[in-house]
Amino acid sequence: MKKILSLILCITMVATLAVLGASAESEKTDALKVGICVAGSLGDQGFYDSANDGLQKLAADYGVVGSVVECKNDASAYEPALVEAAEQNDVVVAVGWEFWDGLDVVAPEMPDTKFIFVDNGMTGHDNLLAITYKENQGSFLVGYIAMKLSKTGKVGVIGGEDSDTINNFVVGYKQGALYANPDGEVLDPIYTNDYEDPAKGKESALALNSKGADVIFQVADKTGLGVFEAAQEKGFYAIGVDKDQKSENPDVVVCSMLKHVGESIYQAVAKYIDEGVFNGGEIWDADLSTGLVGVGYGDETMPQQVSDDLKAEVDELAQKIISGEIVVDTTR
Amino acid sequence: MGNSFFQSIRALFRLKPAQKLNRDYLISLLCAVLLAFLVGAGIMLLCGFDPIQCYGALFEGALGKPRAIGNTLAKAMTLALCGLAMSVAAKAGIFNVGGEGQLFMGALAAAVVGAQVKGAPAWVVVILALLASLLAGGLYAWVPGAMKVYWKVDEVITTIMLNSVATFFCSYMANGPLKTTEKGIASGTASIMKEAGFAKLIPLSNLTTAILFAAAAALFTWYLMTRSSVGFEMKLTGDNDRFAAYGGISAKKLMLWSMVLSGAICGLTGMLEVFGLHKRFMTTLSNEFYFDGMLVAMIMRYQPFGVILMSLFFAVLNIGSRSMELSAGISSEVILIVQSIIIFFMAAEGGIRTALQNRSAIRKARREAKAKEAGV
Repeated sequence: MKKILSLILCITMVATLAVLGASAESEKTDALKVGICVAGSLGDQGFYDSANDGLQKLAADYGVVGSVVECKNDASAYEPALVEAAEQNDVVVAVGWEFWDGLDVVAPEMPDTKFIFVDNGMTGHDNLLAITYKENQGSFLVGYIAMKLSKTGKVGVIGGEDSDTINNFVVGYKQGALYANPDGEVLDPIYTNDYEDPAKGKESALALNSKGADVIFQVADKTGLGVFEAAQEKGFYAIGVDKDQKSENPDVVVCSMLKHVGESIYQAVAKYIDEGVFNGGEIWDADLSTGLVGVGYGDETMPQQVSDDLKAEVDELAQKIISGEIVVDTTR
Repeated sequence: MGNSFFQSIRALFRLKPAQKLNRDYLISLLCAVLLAFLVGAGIMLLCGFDPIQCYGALFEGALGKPRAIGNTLAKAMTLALCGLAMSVAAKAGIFNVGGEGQLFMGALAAAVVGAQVKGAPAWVVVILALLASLLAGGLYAWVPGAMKVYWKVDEVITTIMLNSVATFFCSYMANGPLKTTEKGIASGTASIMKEAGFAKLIPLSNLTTAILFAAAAALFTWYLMTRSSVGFEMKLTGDNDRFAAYGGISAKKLMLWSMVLSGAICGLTGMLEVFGLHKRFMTTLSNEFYFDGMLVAMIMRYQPFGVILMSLFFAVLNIGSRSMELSAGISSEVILIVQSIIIFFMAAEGGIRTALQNRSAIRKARREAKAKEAGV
């Protein structure tokens, strides 16, 4: 008992010393402070990293003081992370649907902080701006490309989970593919229920390929990287997602459905800094016309499987979608 | 964490559970903690951060505000319950590595009861959920326990395997048949009855009245392990089950029941997470909490009181690291390194100490020999 007590005393002593040492320092700056809460960890080459890119850009252009909290998929950390970020920052960006329950509690409690919730259409809080993306519109375009490039007339799609957001990609893709060729077939999507496992993505892609699909769209973050590997092995085409993923494997990735999460965060915060406007309580539904959703073909150094004619057709289609001539299906 | 964790676990299994928590060991532990902090400070310096400021932010973040203390206590509660679950089984000589799965099963059972039982008063729902989680966790531990006791199937392997079965089963349920229709929740079950959720003791913190249940469970475990005759029998069985059986203890039964109790505590932990924090089952509900608790238990050699204290310390590191990331800007991974170093040193503790003792003994002998020579 005595020994344990002395152990605690020692630890407390170290702790107090450390706290005293730190409390002496506290600097004040006028720069806007932006905190990002990610549900998983950075380093996914997709969703989370894209948000962080937006923050870095803000820091470079506006001198914003940025910080990131990674919850590392620990559910008990979601709400405390939001609270802590809200206390130390002027703007808090929540990246991941996992923050839904937490934001519902925290946003009303912290009225002085502005919250941005990406990829989720949450309303009802005056200090919370929700950003959603018309991924169905971008997916329509890549679906069109997929069917045009397909020789078998069958195309496939692999989703990370069976959720509204992922299915919003799927329905757009399907519609676009059938728009290109009404007699073609879009195979039933395979859901991997995992965003972190490329091996699963590869297996799923091989399964779809064996059923005849020769162009496969991946909507599964890191898991989807396995689709490119399968494409390389079996010699079919793949379509990337979120970032321009052609650079991952230019020979098989024909194009990517872009969803610029970071750029949208950048624009929302920049608008707040420049004009003092923060559209709390609203949903900003970023569509094709904003450029936050679109199609990427890599750069000129990479082999282009999509011909210039087809690219022109896609641009035309994009205009039709923006003008409302084509209405793309949605799950939202 | 995954693989490195299994490696450290394997290293820690080499520790005999019977070893005592004596003075020498505690001194080594303290040295390990200090050394780990020093290494951490070195890494911070290398990355261009001020260690004093970082550690300041760490402790400030974990203990600086009532809310922070609440979060730390809540984290410690989870860790301690997992650690105690490990200790109960280990004391009787059976290793429960499957607590993660039992925790998930308990949490899912509790969430289902909490959401499906309608029209009953809140306290009835809480009690029903409690029983369901204890039962689910206990049953899920009984399977590998019985396999070990009756068919001598290595429980370390089966429990690790059953972890995957449980997490995938729960993930399927939360994404499939039991998926909520509430807007915005991409995976998770329907939320539990609102009134049945545990009340927050400190606003906006994770500390809820769940801690009372945890305290009761901890007290019970502590009493059982250190103050009751059952605890003594468990210890005998753990030390040498054949001797215990010869002495008239039904060792098999005792092992099995320790395992079931261990599983039930894990199930309870899951229930407390659901009713205290998330109000629904989510697949991210536990991020290898049990493995963290297990390491704590191993470091403290399965002594209940020590486990609780060490859980507090690890909780401080865990909670503090997050706010350190925010305010000092250094990645919280540094604290994972600090934790790993502590575990590493404690796993190697026996070897290091013997080596040091040997060396000092040799030096002493040499000095004495020299003195003798000089004297002659």
